[in-house]
Amino acid sequence: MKLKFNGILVLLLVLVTQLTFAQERAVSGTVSDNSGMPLPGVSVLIKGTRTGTQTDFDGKFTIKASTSQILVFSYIGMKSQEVSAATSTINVKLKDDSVELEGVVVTTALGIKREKKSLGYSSTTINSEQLNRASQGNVADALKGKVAGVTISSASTDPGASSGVIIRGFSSLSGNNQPLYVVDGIPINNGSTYSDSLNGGYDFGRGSGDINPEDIETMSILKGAAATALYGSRAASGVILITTKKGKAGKLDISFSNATSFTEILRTPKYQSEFGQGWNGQHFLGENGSWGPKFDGVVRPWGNVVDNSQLIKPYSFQKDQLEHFFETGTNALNSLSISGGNGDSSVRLSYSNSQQDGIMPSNADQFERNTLGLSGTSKVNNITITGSLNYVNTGGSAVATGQGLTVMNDLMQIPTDIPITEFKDYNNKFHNVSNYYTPYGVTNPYFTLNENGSKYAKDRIYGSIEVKADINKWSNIIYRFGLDQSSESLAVWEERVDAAPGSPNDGSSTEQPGSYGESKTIAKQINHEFLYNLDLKLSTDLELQSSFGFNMNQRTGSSISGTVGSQDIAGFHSFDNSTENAKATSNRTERKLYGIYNSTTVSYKNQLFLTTTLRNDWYSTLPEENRSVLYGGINASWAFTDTFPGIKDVVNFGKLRANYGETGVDTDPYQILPVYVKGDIALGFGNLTYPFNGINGYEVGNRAANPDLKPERRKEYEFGLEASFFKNFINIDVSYYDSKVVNQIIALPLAASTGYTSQTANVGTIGNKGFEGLVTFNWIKPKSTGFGWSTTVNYSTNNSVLEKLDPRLGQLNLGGTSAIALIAKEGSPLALIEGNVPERDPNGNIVVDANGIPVTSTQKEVYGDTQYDYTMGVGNTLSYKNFSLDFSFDIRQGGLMFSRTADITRFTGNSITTTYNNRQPFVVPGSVTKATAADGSVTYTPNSTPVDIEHQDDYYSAAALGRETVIDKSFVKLREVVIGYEFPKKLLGTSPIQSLSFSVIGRNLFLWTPKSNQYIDPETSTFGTDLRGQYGEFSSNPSTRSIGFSVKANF
Amino acid sequence: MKNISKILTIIFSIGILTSCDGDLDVNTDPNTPGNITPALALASAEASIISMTGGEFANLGGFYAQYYTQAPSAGQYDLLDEYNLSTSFGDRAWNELYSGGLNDLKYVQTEASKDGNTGQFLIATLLQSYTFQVLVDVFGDVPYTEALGGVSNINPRPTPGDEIYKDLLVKIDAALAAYNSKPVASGFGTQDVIYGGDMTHWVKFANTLKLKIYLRMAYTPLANPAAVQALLAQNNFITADAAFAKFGTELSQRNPFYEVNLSSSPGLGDINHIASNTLLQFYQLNNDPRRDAVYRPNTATIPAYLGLDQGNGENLTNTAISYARPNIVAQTPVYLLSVAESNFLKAEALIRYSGQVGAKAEYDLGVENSFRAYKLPVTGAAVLTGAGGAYEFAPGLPTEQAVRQVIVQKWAALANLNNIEAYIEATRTKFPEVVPFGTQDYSIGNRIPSRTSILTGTTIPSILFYPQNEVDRNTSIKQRTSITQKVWWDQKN
Repeated sequence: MKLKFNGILVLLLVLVTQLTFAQERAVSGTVSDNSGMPLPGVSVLIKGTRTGTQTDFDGKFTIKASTSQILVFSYIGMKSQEVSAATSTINVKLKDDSVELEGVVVTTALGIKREKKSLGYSSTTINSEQLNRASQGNVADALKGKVAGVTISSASTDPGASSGVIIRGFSSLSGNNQPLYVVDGIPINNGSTYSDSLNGGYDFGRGSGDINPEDIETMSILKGAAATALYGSRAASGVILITTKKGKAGKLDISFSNATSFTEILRTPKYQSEFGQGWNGQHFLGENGSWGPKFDGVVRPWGNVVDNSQLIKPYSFQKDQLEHFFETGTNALNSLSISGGNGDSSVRLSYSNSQQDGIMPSNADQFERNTLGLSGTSKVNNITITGSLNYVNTGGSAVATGQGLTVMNDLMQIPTDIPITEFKDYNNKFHNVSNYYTPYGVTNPYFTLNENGSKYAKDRIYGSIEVKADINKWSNIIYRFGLDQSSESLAVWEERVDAAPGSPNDGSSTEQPGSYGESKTIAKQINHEFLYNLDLKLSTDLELQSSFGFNMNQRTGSSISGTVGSQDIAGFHSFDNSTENAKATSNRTERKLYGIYNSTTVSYKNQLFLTTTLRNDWYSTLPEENRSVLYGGINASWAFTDTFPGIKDVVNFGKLRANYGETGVDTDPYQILPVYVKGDIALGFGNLTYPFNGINGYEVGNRAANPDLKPERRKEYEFGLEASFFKNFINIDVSYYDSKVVNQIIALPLAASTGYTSQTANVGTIGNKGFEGLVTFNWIKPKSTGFGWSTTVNYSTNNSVLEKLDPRLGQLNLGGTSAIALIAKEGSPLALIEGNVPERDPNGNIVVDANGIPVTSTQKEVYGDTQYDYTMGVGNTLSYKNFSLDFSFDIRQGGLMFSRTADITRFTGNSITTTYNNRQPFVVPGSVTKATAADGSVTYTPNSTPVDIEHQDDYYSAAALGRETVIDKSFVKLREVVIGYEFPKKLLGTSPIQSLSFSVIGRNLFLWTPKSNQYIDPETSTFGTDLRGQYGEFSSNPSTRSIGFSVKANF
Repeated sequence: MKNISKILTIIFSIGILTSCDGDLDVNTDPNTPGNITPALALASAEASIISMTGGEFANLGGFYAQYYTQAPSAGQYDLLDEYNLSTSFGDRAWNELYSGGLNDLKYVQTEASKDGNTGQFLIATLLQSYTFQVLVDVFGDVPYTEALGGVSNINPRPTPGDEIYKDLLVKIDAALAAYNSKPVASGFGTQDVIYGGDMTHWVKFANTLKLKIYLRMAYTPLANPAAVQALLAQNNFITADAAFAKFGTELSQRNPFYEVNLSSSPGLGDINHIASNTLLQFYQLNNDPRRDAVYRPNTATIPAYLGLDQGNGENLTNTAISYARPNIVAQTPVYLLSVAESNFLKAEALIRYSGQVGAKAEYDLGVENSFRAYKLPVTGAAVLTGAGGAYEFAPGLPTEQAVRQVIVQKWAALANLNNIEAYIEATRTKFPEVVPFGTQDYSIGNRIPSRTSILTGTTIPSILFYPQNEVDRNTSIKQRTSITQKVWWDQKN
């Protein structure tokens, strides 16, 4: 209540203030730069008020002010200046803001503000303006291509889908490499709600996606162990520190923004345009592929005969067949905030609404997010109380990915000559599930799209309370409490596919009994933090800052879920709508962490800084003997331009930094003790699960106990240089780091002959070495000419290597399928893709079978690794007067990924890659046949059997040629183009609008990929946004480009 | 102010002190029980074993014994039907049998020993022996003496198959002896899905299993006529099928072959398996009514029972519904040992080691019990085995020819019931013979090389690759070079 009351007070105050000043008169003058050139568009503000104006083209201004007031002159790239309004003519010269970098204040771990130059580690800070320039609804997406050493991967551009952030490569084999998000000093949940099921995957986003980007004041990315040691295990993959906007004293600020954009499909697999429906070179009307004869344009019947009639169409290629299926999607993001405050209190209230409807021609892919945030702070005597509360409500529907009856799988098995949009009326007698043209495990995509579905909803509350007491001038004590609680519900259903008795598809594998599943999940995190901070000036040159802290963190979760394997009444989805009983399961988890820590910085002459951190954690998830873990770090920073001011003409600011740090990492709950589990046998497709027929079964779990489990330990050192040359003409920020995570904890796969299939164990070491650099060129500073141009280039390379692996293990399987797997091997990059290859004779010739098709070797081979060789972002900002143009490229080079889109379009003969030799018979070059005699002796004979048209489909889908389904995932994307216009103050005149801007925004406008990728946007993944996601995609939904506009106004 | 800092210091210290222990002991999984009973583990073990022998292996055996072949216009098992198996083919069965069935049986044995329950120990030992025998029969030499040791030995070396066989007999005899000297009822009740915990049945099972093990050694130097004769003299073999017959009709409760291959969800939808002419023609040419029990008629046109020559599936105008398909439903039991099989084992033993005396009677009974298993009137069997019938036992033939009659009938009696055993026995005895396509006589029981075989001549696979998972994880296992290598007992030329 108190906070709200303050808000009203602020309102009143502002009104009163405006009424009191009466003795104003006009003050005028000219503003120029150092060289005397007049500066247009300089903001002139009366300090402590919202009254202001701008200079005109000649740098002149006029404003009404009283003699006691102070004018503030500010301009981008220049140092702000304050001048008393005592005289009525004021001419001002603004100076270049050459010490920009030096003065930057950043928030460090623990929420303590520091001058950036005191940091001995790499930290990138993104401010609100940079973050929201392109009006991205998701904070992680907004970072894409902007921060060196940080790779943002979006599972897809489906509405609401998650975006993952990987900082300096993969450091954990366990599969969680996401940074810890800390909002105003409190860690929040960043879990992902997704399924990577091969038979119907979905993605409903990550916890970080719940943050309203407009609420963010600054966002700092802490990359190394030294920077993150104070957050303990959870920060081992980096920290993203978010400071939210607060109300500012003396101002009532209302801001509103709207961003509306339209999305369309970015990339579809390239189809061949010469051959149509059929198989083995013949025209079969039931085939789900394009292995038929060459197009001849002749009008022929197609589809099944229904009621003695049949459809006809020309036998010719359908251009942009897939594109026609999709429609234009829409995104709208609206946000509103009101903030203000008086001397010691401030308050801010914000609301945002994001609505997305994807490109599927239905509402089956849509997402909505509402966020409501309230924050306030008040100081009474020496105690400051700050609080924030956020309520987030998200919900939506996703279209399943994967094999089986999914929209994409249905679509990709439509021959190149069939117009997809014909199927739109899926109740039409020719196109319903009974008579759909093919019986081969796929059906009308419109049926799948409209009748299968999902519904997701989440309510989340997170917030914090901070009480800070200043004990004396040099020390204070802080208590912070954080809470993050969310409840999610998810329902997923598949409609029954029941072909009418006697219809063409009756008894085919397309028929499905349907299914329904629903789950409810509650997650809760509580965090307590005590801090004692002191800041002592030991002598004129020596200063000491130190913080002592105690942290308690508890995370609990519970879920219940049920499934039922059939659905009866069409169009209705429920557990009850089945001949079977639903099966339910439940799960509860709890974990705790206690930590005590200290961080101490000693600075000498404000140019040499040394910081040490030390922390001890106690983890509930580790065995009692190993649960206490001590670690820490040391970092140093030297602002050498302060030591040698003589070089400032060339190097106007320079700082060297070096650090070493360690972090301990624990594991998931319940990994140590043996367990007994329900009798449940996986059959490959389906399970045999107790209880049934009155019998129950429990078994010895397949995970062996591990009472000796130790924590993982990340050890990292880093060197860096920040420097600005020639009055900030060039700014550079480069780092080199070398980190190792030893005692990697993973589910160590055990040979089943041991009686177990896994053990949670310490198995190896991952090393990450990398270089990251950020260079900014301020080609033309936006001043006299009104034209400005700067370019930012960030570049990073990271080499993740599994340096050591338990010698008992040959390799580690990280995911994928049995044919093509994601694996890790000692001494090799993380992670590798391994798959089938053709068998070869001793001379290296490919062994083929009786049809001339390569035979699969019993030995799999590594195709290559999944890592980018380098990633790069190039951004340009151009401005002319009130116009600005920003455009950025995201460049990623190297790495492999599996693509089921490649696999399936090669299987169906739709892919442009399936027309080698114009589909005429060809002999696999240098092939041999193999004969094994009864005595086991083997002879090889040169092969003369060509792969004839009847077997070309077998050739293109041969297991031996699995390498063809693994593509180079390099790309260059025109990530963002933003054209902005800021309305001049003059135009706004006396309207209540303080500032108004308008932008046109394009995103992912162009995509360039290497020749081997004729299929997809290589950013897509259906295996989540972490290590497993490196495997690739399993019939993902297509990604999009978007074009839109935004309006931002401040009142 | 001083007070506040004092209070906070105290809270601080208390926090740190209490943090270390007690409060952090929250790492016992609340979602799983702290302990279970041997009865619960036994039910799980039985389900693990039958899920594999009646699922993965029933599929493998179905193709290799030439009961089924791959349907046209589908291709899930193309590679299997071509003998072009990948090394990961055996992964699931191997994992489930070792870490599921055998590990649970080990638990039952441990608990039974503690409780002095000789009945429970015997049942666990028998199922364990059964499982190891299957593992040897399809994978060759497998980890045995070093197996199931948990993390104390994560690279168990394989034990030669003949040594495993010898030891299985020792273990069975020891468990039997312990039970006989101090019989304790298992008390498993319905948790023993196979025999309801009835020890009488399990003792009979022990003898039948031993007979099966001994006969597998028939072509090897380990053949032991005296032991077989002793078993025959004791004549205490199974009188009730050892079958897992409590499947339900709902999802996750159904016959594993049905769930995976015939159900449309989560299974593959009944589009891959169709009748192979090898068995279909055998039944048909001999007017054997079992045709209608083993296969379902097609739903399209005449003839109702259409099959394809093994591996001849590259015909795109048809789908599975045009052919006869395996008649397996959700509740079809999975058999570990059937009475008919026991009859044929005895018949072979009598032929080999008792001068064929009584062999015909067991042979006839075998066919009769096969009809019973398929729920057909036994009069049909009598017609076939009676004088002048197609299957009339010819007495006095040389041993191998006499055995041939038994094995061909056993092959015809195991379809859908124990496909993998039919394949293993065919590998051991070379009956029904594999003959070049075109020269086969389906009526007498002839197999052909798959029409899409990638192997030469009449070679068909005689062993599986070691599962890729095991090779990847167990450094003591070296992948074999070929699936034409031989299991240790495969010594007949």
